[in-house]
Amino acid sequence: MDNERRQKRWSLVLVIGLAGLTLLAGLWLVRAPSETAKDETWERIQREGVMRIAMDASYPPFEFTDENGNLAGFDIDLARELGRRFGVDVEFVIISFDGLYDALRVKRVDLILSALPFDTRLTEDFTYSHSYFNAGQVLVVREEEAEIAGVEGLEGRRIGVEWGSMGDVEARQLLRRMEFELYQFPAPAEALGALGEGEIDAVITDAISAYQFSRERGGIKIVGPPVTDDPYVIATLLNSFILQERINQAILDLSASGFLDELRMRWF
Amino acid sequence: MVVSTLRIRWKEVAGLAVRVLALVVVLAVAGAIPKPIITLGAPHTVETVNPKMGVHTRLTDEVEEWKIQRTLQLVREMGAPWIVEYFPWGYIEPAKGQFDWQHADMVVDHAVNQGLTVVARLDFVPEWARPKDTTFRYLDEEHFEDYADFVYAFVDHFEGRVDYFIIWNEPNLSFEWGYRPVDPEAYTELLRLAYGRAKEANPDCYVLNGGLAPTVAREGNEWGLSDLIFLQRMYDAGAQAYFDILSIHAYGYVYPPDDPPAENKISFARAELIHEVMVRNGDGDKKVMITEGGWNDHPRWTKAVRPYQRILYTVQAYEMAREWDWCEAFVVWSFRTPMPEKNFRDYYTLVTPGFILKPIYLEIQDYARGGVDWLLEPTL
Repeated sequence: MDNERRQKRWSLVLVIGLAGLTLLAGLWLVRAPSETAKDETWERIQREGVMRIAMDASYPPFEFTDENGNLAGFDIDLARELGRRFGVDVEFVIISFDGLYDALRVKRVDLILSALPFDTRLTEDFTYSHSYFNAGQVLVVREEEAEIAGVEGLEGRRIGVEWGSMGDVEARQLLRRMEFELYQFPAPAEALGALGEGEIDAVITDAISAYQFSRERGGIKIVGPPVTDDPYVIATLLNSFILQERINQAILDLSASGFLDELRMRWF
Repeated sequence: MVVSTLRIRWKEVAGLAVRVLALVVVLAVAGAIPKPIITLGAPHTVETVNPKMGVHTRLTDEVEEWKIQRTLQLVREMGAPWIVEYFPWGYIEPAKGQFDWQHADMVVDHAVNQGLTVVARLDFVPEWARPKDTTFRYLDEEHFEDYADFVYAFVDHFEGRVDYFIIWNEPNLSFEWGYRPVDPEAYTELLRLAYGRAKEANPDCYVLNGGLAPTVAREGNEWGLSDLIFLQRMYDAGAQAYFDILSIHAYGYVYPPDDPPAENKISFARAELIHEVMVRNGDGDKKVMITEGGWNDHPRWTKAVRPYQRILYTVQAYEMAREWDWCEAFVVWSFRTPMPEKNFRDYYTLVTPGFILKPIYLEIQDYARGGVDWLLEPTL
């Protein structure tokens, strides 16, 4: 009987001991990275007070050189706001698009902010931020339009696109499963102008062209979910986890505060 | 006792019989598995009004055979008889003297079956032929012979199927020269060695130099050297004897194809300036092949044009190439990529990765079939 009780006691001690060890191991696993791992990029930015940003400044209205030779655009303003929030200066490193990732890989820059589309193929090498803009194709109708709320409402309507554009490609794909009249124009502004004049009922075009037309001439609105997605993101190295976390938080804050909408209104 | 032994043996025999039967069933099932469904099929020919039309197919990283075949079918159906395809040395010869021809054979066999003429671009240095921490464009003179050996093996392997070979790519750009200063004289030496080995393998083959990139960079520029200057220095180094056709790249950027060329401007008609360099060096009888070129229709890239302009310019450029008697072919960059590139490069293609035909494909096809309304700009 004593022997049985002793065995039970030892079993209990063993179970408690193992549970304690498991708990300690768990705590170590959870706490260790934040105590020991370093974000060298973030440390360097803080130490030197400069954040180096790679971009190809040939994509207006996101980044371009204005008539005075200064960098300007949506991404320029966003980068400066990030620098202000992080308490550092920003340095723009101008590189052709083909070389952006290589520059980040060899640490010549701290991040890429350059109307950069999310690329699933590169997620093993780089970390992407939350998207700060979706440049995909959208469906545009006149402001007073009440019946067309998405592409499903295009049946039997007159649809305009820029000839040869991705909007044209999407419209031709839709024609395989529904019927509508397709009108092709030399440029998005002409298609949107025809929409405003009532010559057509809807336009499939890229979001930036739609925003630009809306700001300049008004009378139109974007309806439904985007026809295609093309999210723009900020890329950092995998081990720049603090920098990435700060960027993500900033994007959420800037979105909630309306800053990103202000930038959109400012630039397109 | 005797009965028991017999019973055991009977059980063993029965067990053996079951196993043999199972093996027979497995083999029968295996034998009945359908053969690969991708076959070459009957040979085709390309029908077109313009035999100088070409396109860069970029099948290097395309894994699935049906996609390779579908791509090449679409090229034929579009009406382009020429393709340039990239065959990376590092993929084919992963160790010195060890060759893996499987993928290259697949691409070439399907292309030939579709009636296409293949121009093979050969570069991409394997790790064993370059120092650690260098890019796959880095080839020092110590390994020039290794590259020439590869050229020999490639030309020999594809004799009867491929007759055109491009030696390197854009050697007038630092990036393509392993991020070193460009070196026309060193490149000419590489061309000399490769030319000799190619002719050794197949005396009737055509050797093309690495397509020169259009750039206005002057001497001493960190990133490259003007194609016009680079070519002159190649001639000065004796390159004339080491290529049969001059390969160049002709991008239009924002200019129409017939926009007058100038040394300080990158445009499609810059090809005429290149040809003038050849004439000045007594090499005017040789043909030029534009092995890359065309326009981009990204919505916002400053070097892009509107999609309708890209359609018109591309077809007009095919027409110009047909009229240039010194031009062998104009190969548009590029037909399709296996995956979206997720940047402006997607706006160079004619077909999406998912095989959706872009309007430009359909318009080029219409032109190649004799359509004439491609001259009209769209109106409501």
